[in-house]
Amino acid sequence: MVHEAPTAAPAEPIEPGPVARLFQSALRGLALEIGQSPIDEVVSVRREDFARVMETAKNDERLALDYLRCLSGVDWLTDLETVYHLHSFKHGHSIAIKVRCPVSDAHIPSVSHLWETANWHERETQELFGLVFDGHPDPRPLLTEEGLGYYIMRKSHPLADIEEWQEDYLKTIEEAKAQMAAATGVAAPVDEKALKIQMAQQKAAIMKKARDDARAKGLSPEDEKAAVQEAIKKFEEEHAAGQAAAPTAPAKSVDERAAKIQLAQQKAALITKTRNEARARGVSPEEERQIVAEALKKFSEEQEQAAAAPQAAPAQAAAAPATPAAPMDRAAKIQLAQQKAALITKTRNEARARGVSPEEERQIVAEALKKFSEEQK
Amino acid sequence: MAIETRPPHESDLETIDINVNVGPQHPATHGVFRMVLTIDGELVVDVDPVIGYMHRGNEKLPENCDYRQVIGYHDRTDYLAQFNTEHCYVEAVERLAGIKPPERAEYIRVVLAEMNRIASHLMFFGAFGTDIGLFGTSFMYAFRDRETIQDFFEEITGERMMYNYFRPGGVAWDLPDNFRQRCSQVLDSVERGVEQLDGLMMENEVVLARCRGLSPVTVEDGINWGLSGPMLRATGLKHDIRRAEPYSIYDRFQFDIPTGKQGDVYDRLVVRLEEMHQSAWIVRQALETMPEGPIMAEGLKRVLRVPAGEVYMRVESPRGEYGVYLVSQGSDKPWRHKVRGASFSNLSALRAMSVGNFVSDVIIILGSIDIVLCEVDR
Amino acid sequence: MFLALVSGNPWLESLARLAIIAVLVPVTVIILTWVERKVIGRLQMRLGPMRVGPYGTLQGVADTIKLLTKEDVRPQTADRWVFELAPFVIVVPVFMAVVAIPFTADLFIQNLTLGVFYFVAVSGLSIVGFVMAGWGSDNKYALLGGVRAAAQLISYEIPLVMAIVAVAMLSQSLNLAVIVGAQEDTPNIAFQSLAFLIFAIAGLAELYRQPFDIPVAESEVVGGPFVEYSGIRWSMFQLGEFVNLVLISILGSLIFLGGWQWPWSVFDESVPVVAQIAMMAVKTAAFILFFMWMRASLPRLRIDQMMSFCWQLLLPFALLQIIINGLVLVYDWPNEILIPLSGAGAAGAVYLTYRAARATGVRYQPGYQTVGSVL
Repeated sequence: MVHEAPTAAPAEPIEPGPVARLFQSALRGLALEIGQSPIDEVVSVRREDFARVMETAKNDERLALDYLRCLSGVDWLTDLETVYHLHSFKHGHSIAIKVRCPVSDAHIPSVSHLWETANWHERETQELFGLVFDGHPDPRPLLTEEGLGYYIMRKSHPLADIEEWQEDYLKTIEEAKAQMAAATGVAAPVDEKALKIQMAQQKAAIMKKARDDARAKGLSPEDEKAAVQEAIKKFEEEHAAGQAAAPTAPAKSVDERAAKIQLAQQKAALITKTRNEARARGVSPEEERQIVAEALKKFSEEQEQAAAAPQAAPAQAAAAPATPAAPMDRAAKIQLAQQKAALITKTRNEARARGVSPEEERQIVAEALKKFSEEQK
Repeated sequence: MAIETRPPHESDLETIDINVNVGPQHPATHGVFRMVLTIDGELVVDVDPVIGYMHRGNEKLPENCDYRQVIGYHDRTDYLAQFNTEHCYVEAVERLAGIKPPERAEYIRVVLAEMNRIASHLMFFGAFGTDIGLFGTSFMYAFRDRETIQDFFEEITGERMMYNYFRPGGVAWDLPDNFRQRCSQVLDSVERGVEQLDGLMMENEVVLARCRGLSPVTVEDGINWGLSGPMLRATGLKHDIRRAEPYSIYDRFQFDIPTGKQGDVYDRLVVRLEEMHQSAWIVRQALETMPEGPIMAEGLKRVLRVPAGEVYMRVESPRGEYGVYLVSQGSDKPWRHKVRGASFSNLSALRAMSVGNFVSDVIIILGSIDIVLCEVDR
Repeated sequence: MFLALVSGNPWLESLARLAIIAVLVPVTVIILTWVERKVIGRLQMRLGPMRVGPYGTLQGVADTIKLLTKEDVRPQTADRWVFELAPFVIVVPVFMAVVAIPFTADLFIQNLTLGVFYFVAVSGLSIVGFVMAGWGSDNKYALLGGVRAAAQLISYEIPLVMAIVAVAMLSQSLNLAVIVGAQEDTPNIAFQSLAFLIFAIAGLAELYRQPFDIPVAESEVVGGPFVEYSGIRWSMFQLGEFVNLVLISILGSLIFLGGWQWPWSVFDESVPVVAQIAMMAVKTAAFILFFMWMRASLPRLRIDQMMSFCWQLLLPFALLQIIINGLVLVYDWPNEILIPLSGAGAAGAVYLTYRAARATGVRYQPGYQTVGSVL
């Protein structure tokens, strides 16, 4: 699998430049794919031939590529690629050599015996891409002494929320999943992030395939783009169809954070209310504090009861098909809170439309809430 | 009663080498760099450089950025040679996208990049003087002139450090009216300052005694260890990317490539000092011939989509070869964005250069590499 | 005048003299810290301290208050008594040395017959303090610095003492007052320029000032023996350093520049006390400013260069000066013959240093080879 030729259309064979031609003559019988970047010629070699190619590049008199400028890893999703930019001070020419290996077998022979400078470059690439350079004299991680355990430069490593991917967080996620599975008997919800990444990878693969196909057919760039877009659209439709068929991922239906915020807001409102009432009665600060604490306690108890209620009535949960299996305490609680919030909003808006005073409005809302709670019970 | 007395021999005494952690918080490590020295008395038996404290994912972040948003990350990669690094990146994008910047923009870039080289070398001399034990005098001398240059840059870009001024296809906005006069004024004062620095540092007996013959590097070793820039030129190799593979408009200017003789620390000082004069010469030539005209290529879209392909663009930054390996998939974001930091490769030769020297020598060898840790760790 | 009040009682008198030292010396140090910062600031094109008081004059006071009120931190693993006593071991000998210094012909704490001998013996004690601080801190930088300090102080004590001995030979006395009295016509610097050169250089090394700040090198051992000290204990080190600076400067002006004597017989008969003090102050200040100037303009030597400079250059030339003096004394040659002889010696020493510094070539590399990959 060779990376598509950069500037020229792949339909026409690329004329090998002078350095690449030297390569060809020095390494007869090897499959070299030759490309051209805006500055350097690019030679792609197979992994089996790689060690021999590099040996020749360094030691052949005509090539004499004695300086390793740069060593870069590139993640092509299915493959990992290493690019060596070489320079010859003797002849003044430069070239890039590329070698690929599949992700499942990410091993490439080390070149640090040829160019000492490859030592650190390879250590860095090994740490960031998970490429193993066989025969490296000192394969410790370079940037972190203990190694990261995951490869941050791979495309599968997401850029956002990286802190959530730290090891301790992963552990807590696993624990939580296990707990949930044990408590509910339902399989743990699918990891959203992994899904997203998988999706992105699938998409990228499809795009690539479509583009390759289009190029192979020799389409113009516009047609090519259209073809790619069509492929993506098709893929998305398929995906959506698959999602609709499958039961909705349970974790998705609730927004934990919003619920938490709402709860906190309710609590804050309760505290303010109680305190104001207490002050109006003219109690001492200690008493006031006590009253507030009691009110809070009562509120929490109520919340727990309310949460327990749907657990007792599975039929309730069944009424809402989008909700997850009933026993999920928190999810149910949140759902309840959301329903309540919707009710509050609705009632308030209706009241406002009728143009009542704020006091009346509050009363109406309270009544509606009360009614709702009774219905729930 | 015969008691044999003889003086204790070295083999009778049990001696152990001790490990000393120099850094990550140490006045001589130029940032957060650590080296574990194994010392036998004052002699350094082994050096283990430890890097990575400054890793910020400067190669990963651009993969989620628009091509123009990436420029800012290059300011932060080598924060002493911001224009040189920006130049490298925008030139890489231009080569890949086939954009031709207008003449005036090219001149502006060259002028600013060369001025920045002077500023960076000034910083080197200041910090090196502190490493070698000057009580801040070289630092103050160098910073006076660096400050002049920074003020000048601030007048142009509005920023003191993170200029973010070059764009693929040109530069962000045009120069102020009095640019030519201001620039030569700054150059004059800086060159006077460089002369003073020369007098302070280069003929000082202590500097001579400490730096001459310290950690000499041969041309072959220098190439093999991946040295570049002044480090490589100090070994005697006449190589400068501005001359060997001219980018931008460097083929239009006259300048010399200073080289050293034996690649020791003193040669590295000499090369850097002379480079400041050469850069000033280039700037003067560019000021004379700088044309009027547009500063931005025409027909560029708001969102820059670069055709699929790859390019490894390299420039001669003050520290050596600064390279950007850019792989595009045809979208508005780079697929892979690798930065080849000059001081990364130069620093990797620290162990080879310093083993067998004294502790104080290792400090000045490290200083003579002129590392920027943000560029090493990226 | 104050001393006249208590002069009857020897106990009261000595107590009063000691009290004067105890007050005067720290005040001098506070002023000197400001002077040093100001002088080095001007040498580096800065203003130096400007904020505290007019022209920053109260900066020293502010620093002192800050240092005295800071927490006195001791590392948990430090050797407690060694660590805590080290500053005293450094400061006490320095104060003891002040006792033997005459400030004018009549103003001194105690006029010792073996004043020079006492001074050298006492000030050599502070090595112990540096080694204690380096060892007791349980810090590798401090240990390295302490060992370096010991090596440097012991080495440079020898040429320093020999330079002083050369002068003492000429004056035929170890009494500082007598040495100054012998320079009524011509100061010793004219006859003993080589000894003066050696004294100035060895004095720099004794004070850990550039280019000999190897034990306390900021960029290598981060302050050396002082690295773990803070607050009042650190300021005791600082106090010791500055008092030492003053002492070496006073000693230099006494034995080489003619102390309180005015040149060219400005005063016909006896020199008034105020004029004597003024002359002393001027000569001492010249020395102090010289040391500060060196600090701002010279980088640091390496430890082996420092050692070889001492043993291969300063010591032989100090011996040479003593031999010349001995010849002059034995054969009763006129003192004037010392001027060209010693001057030639000084020129020779300077030339050898100049040549050694400019010797090119690849340095000898010790035999440590890296194993495996070199990078």
